Amino acid sequence: MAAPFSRVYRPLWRIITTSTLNRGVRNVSSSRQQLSAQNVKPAGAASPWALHGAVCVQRLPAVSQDRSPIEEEFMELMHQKDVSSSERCLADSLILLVKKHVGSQKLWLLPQIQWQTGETLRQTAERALASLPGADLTATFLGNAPCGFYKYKYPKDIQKEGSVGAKVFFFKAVLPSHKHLPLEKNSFAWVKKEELQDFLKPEYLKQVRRFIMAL
Amino acid sequence: MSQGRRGRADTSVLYFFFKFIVFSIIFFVCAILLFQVLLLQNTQALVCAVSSVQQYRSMPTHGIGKYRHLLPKALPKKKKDRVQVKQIKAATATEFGVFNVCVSGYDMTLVEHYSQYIHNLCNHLDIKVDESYALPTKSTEVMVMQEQGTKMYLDAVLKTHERIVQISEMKATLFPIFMDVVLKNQPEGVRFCVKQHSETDFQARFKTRPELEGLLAKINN
Repeated sequence: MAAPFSRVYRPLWRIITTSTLNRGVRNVSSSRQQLSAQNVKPAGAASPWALHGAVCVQRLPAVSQDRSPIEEEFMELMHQKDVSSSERCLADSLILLVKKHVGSQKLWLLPQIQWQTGETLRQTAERALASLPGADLTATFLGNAPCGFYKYKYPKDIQKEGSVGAKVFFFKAVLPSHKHLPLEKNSFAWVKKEELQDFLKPEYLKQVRRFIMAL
Repeated sequence: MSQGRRGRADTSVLYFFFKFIVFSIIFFVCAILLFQVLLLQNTQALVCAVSSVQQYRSMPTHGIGKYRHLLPKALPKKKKDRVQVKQIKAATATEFGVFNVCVSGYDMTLVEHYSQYIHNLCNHLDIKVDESYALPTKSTEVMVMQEQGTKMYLDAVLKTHERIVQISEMKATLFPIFMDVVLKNQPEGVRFCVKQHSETDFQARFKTRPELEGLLAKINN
């Protein structure tokens, strides 16, 4: 069933015409240049921002018809409340969140990992997905360009001259539909777009919400 | 005296000649101006340029209903030439080259509607769609083994329909968003895949010519 245009396209144009994508394009091309011509940057001019690649893994909706009332009750009893099961809410698309130590706190984030020199940001995102403990997820990445961006500064006591903060680039990936793997309860969560606000910090949520489409 | 008279005659002739030249110049200048004025009036009277028909009737509304000269010139119909192989554009750093979005499935309405949805989505997002075509339907026969015995009989015929939307020069930044939208709206029972376009894909659309191939084989052998 095709979704009506108006619901999808208004946020779509907002996504396309924002400047985050322009920033993303610049970064993609510069990382490619780094691969091809090794000595582009002079040695001393490292930027004070650490680069991270993050991956937004989505489990696409498996069912498109609305459920009957009996099915609704059954689903509520079984899987709805179990946030770590990837078989909940078959009519919506779910996103994987990971609980991670950032500095001194434990935060819910999209899986991210620091970028290393010599690899593209997409490879960083693939590494972030592969390095999740316990999960053997093989997702298909949709394209080489990042879809979102988040910048944060380290707290004052950690900031040094060379490192001010970190910039995170998000890449979209899609899980194959027939694989359902059990993950640890406390550190993984499959959430819908509406439930994101219960897990993510407000600033982070604001940037992440821009590229996540709820059908 | 005669000299004087002659002188006077001379001067009068000269005077007359001078007057004649002046008047002729004035006359020509006036004629030119008048002609230009008339020409201007004429062009103002002609409403739309490019008309080979002269407005010679006196009514100002003469030819008011004419519209044939406004339509684009219809060229005489050419016989269809052999379809040429188009140059397949290569991918650049920020854009993809030519790729095919294939939609296939057993239910024709779903497949058609989904491919139309993708095509309309591309039009809306200003993505260039080169071609949108259908591949021939493939029939799959489902044979069921008899309960007692080894004979198989025909149970059903499943037809696989396939539609292809060919897209070129899509920006790399738009691609993940496009894929996301298309995947999230994929109906059940419809297979969707994205493939790079190649020469073999293009040639696969044509019918084989067995006589030609036979003759070529004979020539080569």
